[in-house]
Amino acid sequence: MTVKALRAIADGKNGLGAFVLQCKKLDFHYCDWAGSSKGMNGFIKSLLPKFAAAHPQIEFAVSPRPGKHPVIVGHYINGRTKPICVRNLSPYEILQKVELLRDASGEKLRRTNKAVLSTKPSVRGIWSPYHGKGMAV
Amino acid sequence: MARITRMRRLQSLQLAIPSQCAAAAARPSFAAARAISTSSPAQSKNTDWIRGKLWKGEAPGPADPYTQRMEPEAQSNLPEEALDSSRPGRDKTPAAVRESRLALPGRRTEAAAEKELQASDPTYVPAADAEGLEEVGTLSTWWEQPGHWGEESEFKGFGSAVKVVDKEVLEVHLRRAVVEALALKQAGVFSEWATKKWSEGGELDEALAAQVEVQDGKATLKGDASAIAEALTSEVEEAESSATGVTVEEAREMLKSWDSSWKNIALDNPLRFALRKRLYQLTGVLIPDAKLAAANTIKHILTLAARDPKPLKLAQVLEKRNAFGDLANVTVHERRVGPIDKEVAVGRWKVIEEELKKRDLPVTGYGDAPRNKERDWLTGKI
Repeated sequence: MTVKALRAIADGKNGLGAFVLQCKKLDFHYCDWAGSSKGMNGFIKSLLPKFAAAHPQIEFAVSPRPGKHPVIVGHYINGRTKPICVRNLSPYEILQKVELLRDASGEKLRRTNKAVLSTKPSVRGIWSPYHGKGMAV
Repeated sequence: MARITRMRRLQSLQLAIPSQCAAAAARPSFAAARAISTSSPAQSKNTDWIRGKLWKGEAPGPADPYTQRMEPEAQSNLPEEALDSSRPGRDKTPAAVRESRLALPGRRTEAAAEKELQASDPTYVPAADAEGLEEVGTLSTWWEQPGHWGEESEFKGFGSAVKVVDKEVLEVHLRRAVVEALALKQAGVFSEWATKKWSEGGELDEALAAQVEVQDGKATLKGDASAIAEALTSEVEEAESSATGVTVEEAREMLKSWDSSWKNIALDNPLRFALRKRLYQLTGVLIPDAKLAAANTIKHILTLAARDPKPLKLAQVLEKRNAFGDLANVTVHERRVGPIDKEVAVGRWKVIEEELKKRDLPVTGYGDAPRNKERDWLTGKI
């Protein structure tokens, strides 16, 4: 068995204390040549400076990836990443995707069909038939 | 049978060829040179009786019609170089090597064997060590040795090694070329000098100071045309010309001082080629032949020679605009961020590099390890 490093995982406890944005880093990859990066290049030139100024708690890294479609990768404080391909999108469509990444929790997408979802185990613990005095019927 | 008719056709073809390729026609044809008859004269004596029977008396024509053809002299189809080399006792080194001005390695010679030497020279004592012997380098280091490959052997192109990119500077050089061509025309030596190399170190200012007057597409030069022409045709070999250093700002100012009428000068073929050649010599920009034919005025030449500057990369644009100037949370990379860059960012790369070197492993790449064969097996390539 391979040795795995401990992953520092922060549980989202937003609402109990100060609000902490789950997204910690956004990577912007573009290509100088390809047409599918046209919108992305426009976004980086025109919209990203304002967005980055408005979110000082997020780290932004802009780097080229020649010969590939443009991608935005969000890094979250739970250790997960969320990449979105933004090929052939216009700058404002890309802005929507960036806002989506910013607001995402980093958790896996799952269906919420219960009203309450808790990551905390019950304070009373799980009921066991082998413990306690038993119940007279 | 078919073969022979083809031969005849070939022969007639050669006769039909006009004498413009005299050299080819001078050579005897293959069919003529070839001795088809393999029978010797002695054999033909043996067959005389049957000829007599067939013709009932004196047979017309020669006994062996094939050998009676005009006997070709000992002439060969081979080119002269081949003939030279086939002759015995001649130096077989190629002409290019013989005439080369480079110091080429000498021929391999073999020393006489010890026994032979002792027979001719009884005082000969073979050397026991290499002391006192002349040191001759190996062939692999021949060109590194002094005197074998110097500056004189390096290629010097006709075109300028430094390519002019800016349109304004290019225009200034084109103007100079036009003035020079007109000066040569006025001096009456243009046709003579159109194909020769014009002196590179001519006075740039002098050429640019001359006024060009254009009327109906025909240009005349005002000013001292003879001095410009003389500077061009002078045979004095000058050291590297320093006159080509025109900055973009200077060029812009110069362009303002000229009216644009000089760009409408109509071009004829000699002028077109002369300008192209001079522009190549001055700026290193060569206009393709196929496009040059379409250029009818100087303006067209300028359009063909000038190129739009390369568009800036996004990272350069961002730097120029200072888009993320004071934002501490933004990093812009000019190059792709690879695995090594990621390790460098966390400060782990120097440790990795050290450990790899310690184990004598390649730091980047796979060294001389073979390609991943298993991947080829899996993908069905092998």
